[in-house]
Amino acid sequence: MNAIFHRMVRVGMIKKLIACLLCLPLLLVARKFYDDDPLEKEPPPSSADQAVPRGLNDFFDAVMNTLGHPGERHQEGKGEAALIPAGGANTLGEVPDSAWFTNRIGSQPMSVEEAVRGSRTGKAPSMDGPWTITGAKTEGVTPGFQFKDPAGRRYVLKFDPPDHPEMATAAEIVGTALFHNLGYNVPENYLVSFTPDQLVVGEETMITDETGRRRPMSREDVTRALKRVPRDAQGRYRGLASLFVAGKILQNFRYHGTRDDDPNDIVRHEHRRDLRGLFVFAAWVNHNDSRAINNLDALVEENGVKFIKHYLIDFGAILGSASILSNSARDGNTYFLESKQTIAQILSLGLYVPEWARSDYIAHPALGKIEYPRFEPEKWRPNYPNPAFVNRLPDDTYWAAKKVMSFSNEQIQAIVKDAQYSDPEAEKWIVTYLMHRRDIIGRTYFSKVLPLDHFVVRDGKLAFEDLEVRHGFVDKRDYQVEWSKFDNSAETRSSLNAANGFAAQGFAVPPEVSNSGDGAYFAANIRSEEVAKTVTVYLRKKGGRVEIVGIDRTW
Amino acid sequence: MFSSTNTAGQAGPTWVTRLCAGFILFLGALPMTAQEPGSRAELILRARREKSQKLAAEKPYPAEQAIERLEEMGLLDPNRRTVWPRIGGLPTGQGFAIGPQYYNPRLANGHLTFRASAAGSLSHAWLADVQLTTHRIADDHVFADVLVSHLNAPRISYFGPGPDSEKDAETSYRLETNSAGGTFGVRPFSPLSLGVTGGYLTTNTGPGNHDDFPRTEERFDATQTPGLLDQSDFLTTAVFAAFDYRDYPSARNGGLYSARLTNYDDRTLNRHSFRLLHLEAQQHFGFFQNRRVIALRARTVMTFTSGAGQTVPFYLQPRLGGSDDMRGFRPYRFYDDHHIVANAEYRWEAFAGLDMALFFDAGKVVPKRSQINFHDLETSTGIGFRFNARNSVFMRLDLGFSNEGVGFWFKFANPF
Repeated sequence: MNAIFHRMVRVGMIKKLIACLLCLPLLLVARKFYDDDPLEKEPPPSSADQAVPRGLNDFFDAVMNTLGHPGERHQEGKGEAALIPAGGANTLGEVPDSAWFTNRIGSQPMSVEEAVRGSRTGKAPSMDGPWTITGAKTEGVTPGFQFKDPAGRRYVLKFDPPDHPEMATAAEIVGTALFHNLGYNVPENYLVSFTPDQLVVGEETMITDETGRRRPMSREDVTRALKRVPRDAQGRYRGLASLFVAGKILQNFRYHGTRDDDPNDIVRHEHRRDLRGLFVFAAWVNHNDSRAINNLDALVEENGVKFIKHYLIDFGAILGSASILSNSARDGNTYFLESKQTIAQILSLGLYVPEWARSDYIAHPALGKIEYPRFEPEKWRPNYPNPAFVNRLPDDTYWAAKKVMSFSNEQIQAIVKDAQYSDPEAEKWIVTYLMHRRDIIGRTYFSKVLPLDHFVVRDGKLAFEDLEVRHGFVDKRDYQVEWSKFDNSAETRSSLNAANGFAAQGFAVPPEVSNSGDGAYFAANIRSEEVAKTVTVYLRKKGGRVEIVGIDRTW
Repeated sequence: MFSSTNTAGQAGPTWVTRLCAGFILFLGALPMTAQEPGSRAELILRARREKSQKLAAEKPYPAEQAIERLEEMGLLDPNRRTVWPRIGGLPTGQGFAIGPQYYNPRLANGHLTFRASAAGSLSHAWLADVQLTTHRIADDHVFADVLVSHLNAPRISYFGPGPDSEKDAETSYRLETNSAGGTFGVRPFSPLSLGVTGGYLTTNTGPGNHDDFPRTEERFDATQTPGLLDQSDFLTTAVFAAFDYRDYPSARNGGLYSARLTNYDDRTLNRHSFRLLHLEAQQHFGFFQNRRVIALRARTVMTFTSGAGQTVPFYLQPRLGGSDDMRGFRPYRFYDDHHIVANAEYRWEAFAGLDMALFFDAGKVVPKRSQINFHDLETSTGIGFRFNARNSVFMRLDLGFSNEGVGFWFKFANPF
């Protein structure tokens, strides 16, 4: 028995040895950095012209994500090794431009006018003639129409609920601008004001009424629908005209896995940095409705190639709005089903009351229900678990927090002003809400890592900015650096001891780095008071210059 | 020395063979180095090319597809489905009832809704009804309804008249009714509705079929149970008013105050003509963002006989006990000419789809109106689980306790 055991061990060792040998060619060529790193833009998309629409059921999505754990998750309790780093990010930790994301605020200067304009390209519905209704949702709390303007452009027309004039349309304007500026693809949304005669029913327009009957739409349907729409003092209706997204609509993307019919979709969605980081953006504006049903895939054509472009849509349920009614206190504070809270409430016979239920909220018709003094982003929740949000790591939230903190007070004020709240107090509330939550997000997520950024080699020094210091969240502090030579193939470091030291504002680049030949890599490992939080900056000599090629963070 | 056998004792490859094979594979793999991408972009393009080789149509999950199909057929939308099971609806104690229901809300350009249903239970109870309801007339300021129904309930409990009836005196009788009637009402402004009803009701009582209890006529005589042996038909008319400002049907805030006066005119025997006054008040107090609710209800039902010699038939007498009022007692535990009941519930949210409740019920039946007061009330307490969607309870499990035992109730709506 003992002999058999030993033989089995030996056979196992041999198998491992063979496996190592087989992997050797790969190890020999593996490298951390490529010549074109850091990639600012993904290569042009490959053709996805075979992609077809796939239905997504909202109810199923909620149940699946509430009761199951779709997608790939970190292995809890198994330490750092079990963490799955984000994909879809370059070696600096930034998200390169792609069919998902385009770097805008925080990556390039953005004027207040640009911030307000957002995704809009001047295609507001033309008022030079009537809008021809081509489809409608006439039932429900708020009606909605699809129409074609005199220029032949197609729009979706949405309204505010009767008890909350301006609430949903303003939220949609603010949300569209913010998410566009953050980098996502969003529709072009325009606030419109019109009288009933602006709308005419198309000759072949059919509607499905509340009874499920499909029939030709009549003028009476429009009149009846508009009765549930608030009107201003001049008797005009306020609406939000959303320009149809270009291309063939392929329905919604999920927050886990990849599309089977998209060759460009090679990073599982739950690991995409732009979707993990979306948690922070959603928390900022209380986009608790950030679920699969509120995004869109469209097959678009650019430069003769058809590819899938990924959109976020429907921001009418952000801030204090739930689109067709005011938010409930639950929204943004808890999942539909949150096991610990549920058990506590059941066992305590309701004597345990969650903090969100004990809080005070501002209730204003145009705002819905909002509050911000109690905001803690890590306690913020969408309606049900989102795999990408659940997988977020401190470097994902740090990336996102940088974007949020890039919005200036002036930009926020201008974007909110563009939502045209008739009550200045309402406008003020939203501005304050966004600024306050922005700052809390910066404070929260910058503190989870060592928030050194904007690295540059200048005048023989490795300069950087500490974002916590810059925003006044902490006092100036000292940093310690440890320089090393980095073997890009073996991914090993050999210390350059002599050059190590402390500094508050940048470190002198050691001569070994400056004098090295092209293709040499070096690493500067920087830390401050907290040992676990480090930033490793990788430098490369290229074309006689020392450039920053990568950043790794630990926490 | 290097030879080896596997654990089954068969000759296996030698160490040399293994190493040689590994080396050959190693050499074979070396050309891969030539294909190693030279750039990050190439690495991405290679991954895309690999995925291109195995593209497949994007499909929903099978369960998701099934739900989608049901939705397309309109079966998950109460307003769109045409044929749908009717669950429940029979008087308490008749067992779990199920049957088909046809629903058509498209008549008269959507202004009329037609509904027809039938439901039966294993106790041979059954119900069939046909209803026509107006919809969206004069912006919903006017409403009307016509209902024709047949009920056959063979297991209705009867314990004898009055508050002092014995729990162990439970008997069972059958109640058959046929009714046809209509309602017309107006809503002059949002929470207020006023209306009248008129109809014809035929009744027939008979022996119950409950094996565990004797038949009512075996234990009680006609003086105790007026209407047991002689059947009456009634012309019914009623006026009602309701002020309902509850926020949702399963209310978290607001109240309902209603009154209904119904006249039962015995057209066949002229022995059981009476009027019945139903008064009810509900008030719901939401707190902690409406995640906690104190719900209160008080209800009294009084009868007034129409002249000397008239009596209220026992099967139309006010009753207490069961899932909706005194939950620690058997269904229809108490019968008499009048009743008063009060219920208090403390409801709390466990999660978005479940509210729980602690409740307290108190009430009594009395033979005289002057005895309607809060003395000598029967009481029950209990705990409930209310499953809800969109602020409406669709399933309820209540467990009630009283000095007479435990009541377990599985219902499809809130008690109030």
